[in-house]
Amino acid sequence: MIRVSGLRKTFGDVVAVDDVSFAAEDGAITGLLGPNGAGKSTTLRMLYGLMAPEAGEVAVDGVDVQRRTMAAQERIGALPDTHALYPRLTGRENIRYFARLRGIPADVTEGRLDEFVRLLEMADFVDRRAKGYSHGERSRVLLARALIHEPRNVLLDEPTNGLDVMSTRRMRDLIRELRGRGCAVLFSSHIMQEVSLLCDHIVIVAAGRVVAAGSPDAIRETAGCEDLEDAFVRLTGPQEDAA
Amino acid sequence: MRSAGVVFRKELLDGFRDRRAFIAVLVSISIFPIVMLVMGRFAEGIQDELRNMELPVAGQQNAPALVEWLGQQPGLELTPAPEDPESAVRDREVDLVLRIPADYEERFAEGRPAEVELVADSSRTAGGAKAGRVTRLLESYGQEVAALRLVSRGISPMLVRPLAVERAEVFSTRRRRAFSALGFIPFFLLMNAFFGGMQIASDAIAGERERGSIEALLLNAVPARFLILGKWAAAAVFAVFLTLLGIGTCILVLRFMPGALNISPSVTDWFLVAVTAIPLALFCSAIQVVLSTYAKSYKEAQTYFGYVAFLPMIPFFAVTFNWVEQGTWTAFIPILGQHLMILNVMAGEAVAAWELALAGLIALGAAAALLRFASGLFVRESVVFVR
Repeated sequence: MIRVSGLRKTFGDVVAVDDVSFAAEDGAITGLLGPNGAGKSTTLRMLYGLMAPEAGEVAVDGVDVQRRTMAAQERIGALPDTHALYPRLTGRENIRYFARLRGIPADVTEGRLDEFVRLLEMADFVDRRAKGYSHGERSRVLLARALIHEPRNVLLDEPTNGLDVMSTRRMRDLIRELRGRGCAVLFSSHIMQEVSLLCDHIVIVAAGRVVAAGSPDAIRETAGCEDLEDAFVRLTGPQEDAA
Repeated sequence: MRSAGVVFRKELLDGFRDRRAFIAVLVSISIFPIVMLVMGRFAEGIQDELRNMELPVAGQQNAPALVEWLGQQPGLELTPAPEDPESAVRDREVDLVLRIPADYEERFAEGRPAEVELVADSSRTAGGAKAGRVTRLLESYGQEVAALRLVSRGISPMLVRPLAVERAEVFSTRRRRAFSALGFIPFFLLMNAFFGGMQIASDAIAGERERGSIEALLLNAVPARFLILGKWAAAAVFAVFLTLLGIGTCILVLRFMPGALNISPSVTDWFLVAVTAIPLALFCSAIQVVLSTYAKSYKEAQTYFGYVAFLPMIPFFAVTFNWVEQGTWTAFIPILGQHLMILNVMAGEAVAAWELALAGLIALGAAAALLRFASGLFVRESVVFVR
């Protein structure tokens, strides 16, 4: 599980993240919902130890990310918002590279790889170089790469961004399966429907602050709206449209 | 450390699949032989032309004795001059024209300096060299005539030669050749050492950031120093490989180039050259790692490499124009030291083992410091996320 308390980050005069606190429990899907520029990616980057918060703490399974970054990263599988593969390596090689970096024995890696190829239906392209991948193919490889070490905590930054219907479905199934295995899944999105479909717990951020948190029902109640989308619009204010 | 090995293998594989890296290899191994071939042909061509040259002479009837004497010189054929010598030389119809004025015989008889005129274009290598040869011939004819005149007046020609200047050259022939003709062997090898790892370093570091793959890479619980170490090692392997390939080309060129330089360094010499150049290749790769870490994109990294490309040229010019005294301290400045050492080996001079070792250690130490700096820079927030 991931515990975030009092997180703050500024870039010059811009306050990107301001006193953000929430928790992502094991065996639950937590959605970080907010319009573009709300500070979702910045928050996630502090969660996986690539950015240092100015204030606040992040603990992954009780391990402080700031003080013991490597130990915390070992417990995390993450899909950052830059969805990039190595173009001259095949999909399989891309996944294998990260598995080796994490020190997973080769036979274990190969077993999991085969499983991912089956699960995410990657057989057609996984041995082709990543250069010519479609968006959907790329994101499936990225996901397998992020999960190859079977992390207990999964952080996904806009995982379904730009995916077609089939790929989005596959992604959702996988996220549910991770929950079934007892993982703490945290994913960010600016798409209301997606969050309401999947999440057990929703954290709505706007302009760097948490404006509401709770189960989908609790959020509706807080905002005084029947419809979750209306609630989102009301809570996040007039900054930007979110669908 | 294990993870550094993983990064190393991945970057090598990536590098081998990169066509740009392959082209860099081709270019760097072919430049030296091409330069040598062109220069060798050029120099030989001029030598040939000089050995067997034509000399158009205007006003041959004005100086029959001189013309006869010139006609007896080997490898010099006198031909009739064109109508207008100046424009013929300017239009490159002929390389030069010797013009003998009508009053030559008269002045010669009176003992006044008899003028002859050489029309040449010194902006052309062949013209300049030919004019030089003809001038020397005319001077020696003049000296012959002067000596005869003195003898006919009962004076020893030795009297007008109060000094005899002899030069005792301590610069050995081999050393002189090494410094003039082989001066660009170290230059060429250092360029290979310098640019060999460029492609990999810029692609694996600046390219990694440009593509955005760096973020995911940094999530794998691997300390930055191991990532940098692996990437550097891959770049260094290419640099060392290209340096050795460069040495191989030098060996082949010196052996098979017809009459190229008449210098054939021994196997030991080449071994010493390799021992000198390899630490430098490692050092240069570290410079590229730092620059690539600093650069935001592949292109930007290439631009920075352009800025430092003059580094291997400095020692070349420093030696060519004698800016540096060859002292002990120079041996330990990376790049300059290696340049001088390779040059000394080429010149057949002994290079002390401790000097070689110390220069190598200094280069490696500098490389380690650079890599340490790059490791800190690589994970700096402002470096990872500024795009």
